Amino acid sequence: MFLSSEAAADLARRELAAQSTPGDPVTGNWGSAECGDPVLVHDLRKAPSYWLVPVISQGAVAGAIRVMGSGEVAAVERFRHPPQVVTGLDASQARQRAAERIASDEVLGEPRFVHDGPPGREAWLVEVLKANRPVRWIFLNASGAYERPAGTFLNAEKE
Amino acid sequence: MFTKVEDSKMPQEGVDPRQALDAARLHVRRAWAGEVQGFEAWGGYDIEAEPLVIHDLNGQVLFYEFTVSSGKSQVGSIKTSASRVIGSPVVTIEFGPRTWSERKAVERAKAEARKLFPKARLSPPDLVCYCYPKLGVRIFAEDDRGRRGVIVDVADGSVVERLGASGEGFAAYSFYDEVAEPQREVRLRRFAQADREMETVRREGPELFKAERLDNVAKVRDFFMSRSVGLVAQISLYSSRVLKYGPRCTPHDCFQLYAQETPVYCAVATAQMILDFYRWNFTQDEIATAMHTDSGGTNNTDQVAGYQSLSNQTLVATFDETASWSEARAEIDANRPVKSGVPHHARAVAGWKQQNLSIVGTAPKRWLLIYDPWPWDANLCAGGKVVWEDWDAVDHTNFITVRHRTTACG
Repeated sequence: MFLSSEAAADLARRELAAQSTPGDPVTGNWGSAECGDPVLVHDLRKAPSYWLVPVISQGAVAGAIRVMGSGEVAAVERFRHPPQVVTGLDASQARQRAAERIASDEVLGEPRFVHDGPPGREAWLVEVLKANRPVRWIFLNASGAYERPAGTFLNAEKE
Repeated sequence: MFTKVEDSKMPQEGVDPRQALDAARLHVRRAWAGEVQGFEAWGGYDIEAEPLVIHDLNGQVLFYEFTVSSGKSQVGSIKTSASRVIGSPVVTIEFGPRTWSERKAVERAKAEARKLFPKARLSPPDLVCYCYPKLGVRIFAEDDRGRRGVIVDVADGSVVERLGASGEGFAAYSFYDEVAEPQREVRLRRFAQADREMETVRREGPELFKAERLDNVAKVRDFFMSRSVGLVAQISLYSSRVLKYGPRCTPHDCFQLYAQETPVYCAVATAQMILDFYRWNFTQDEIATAMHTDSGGTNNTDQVAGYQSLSNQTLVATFDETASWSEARAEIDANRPVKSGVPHHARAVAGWKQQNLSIVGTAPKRWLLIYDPWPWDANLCAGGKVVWEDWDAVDHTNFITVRHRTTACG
């Protein structure tokens, strides 16, 4: 059974309380931090993979807590630069930026927030369709975009 | 059906079955109150007070297995330690009924013993753990040729050969001798921690150990939450260590996060963090050239060669496909960063943290401090993240250790 959004938020809140320590390299200045609404992260095969729960500190998204579908809290993350939203972009921004990269005979699928590779390597994935067939995957985050032929996974031999 | 606890078979640092039952109750009730997945209904289950006694191959009592039932149905079992040397009061919790029949297992073992030793006097059947977690029924035979034994697996009825822990195939070995005793001190310390926690809970909430079912999850949860402050005051919650500069008088943390400048530069950015730590400063493009990075990323052989060539062979990089917690910890303790590989991704390790206190019976949680170059950003000072990552929640594919050369170049 995949963990519910509410349960993920609850686990994240507990983890935040347990891990927050002054001087800690990740949570050090999160004294009054709170958890936001969990965002579901899918794998490239469209299966739900884990919840990313934003950590809001002083009004900014300072980090995130990764809660696996099994209920395991896998990671507590501090971002180098707080993004506007935990996903870097929101879905409409991802779609808008993807639209700038397609030809006139191509259409876009719905943006999905995925991990491209291991959990933690998150990006928006927008599938590009041509004649109703997926042809390309565009991956986007706040810093830019990259592409691969649709259905192509990362090279297993390389990092 | 099986032999019970006998004083002569109790191990050193033995745990009384009543203490073991308390540990089982506390463990289950805590998991239930914490709404741990799978335990939602366990608040209404009974834990039978009389355990199955499981012996070690050396003859001593090893585990007590308590049956968990709902009405007349068995819904699970809890295996607890009979000795503090095992390191943790609760060893495993299994969901569902036992998959083997006590009666059948004993009948098979008796039949085998009669076949092998037709004229001998047979001992009562012992339940033994002959190759953790495999169980068998052991029967000793005594006649004028001496005392011999046979072990028959409880599940499939096969006869167990004694080969020792290093043998392959259907091996049998003593859990105490091969697993517990080699780490005696560490395991005793871990159990002592659990004992302290038990004492605190027993003093402040004796109702948690009663045989009666608990029906108010909120009340039990409040108990644990409110008491956790008291526990924190007694025992430091975590041990940890991070990389330091000048680790002598007033050291400061010393590792710098860089984002990967392209989506395929994770190994490159990781190398940049590690090489900078050793004061070998290169751009990511320079590192990518040295490591033969292409549009698919960087392979490990090229990463290793790159660390060495870029440092003019003064650093020795070693690829290790059997990444372990103790290895990462040893590198950090020696003040050396490590490259950590997970499927399709590379990051740098700059610290570790370990829980000193955990839920009774569970292993303490362990984290690595990961400097993750993702999210990528063309400005290497803008992306990336620093992460406490649960060691046990992640698939670790490899490490690359990077150390100062101590021998002349060949």
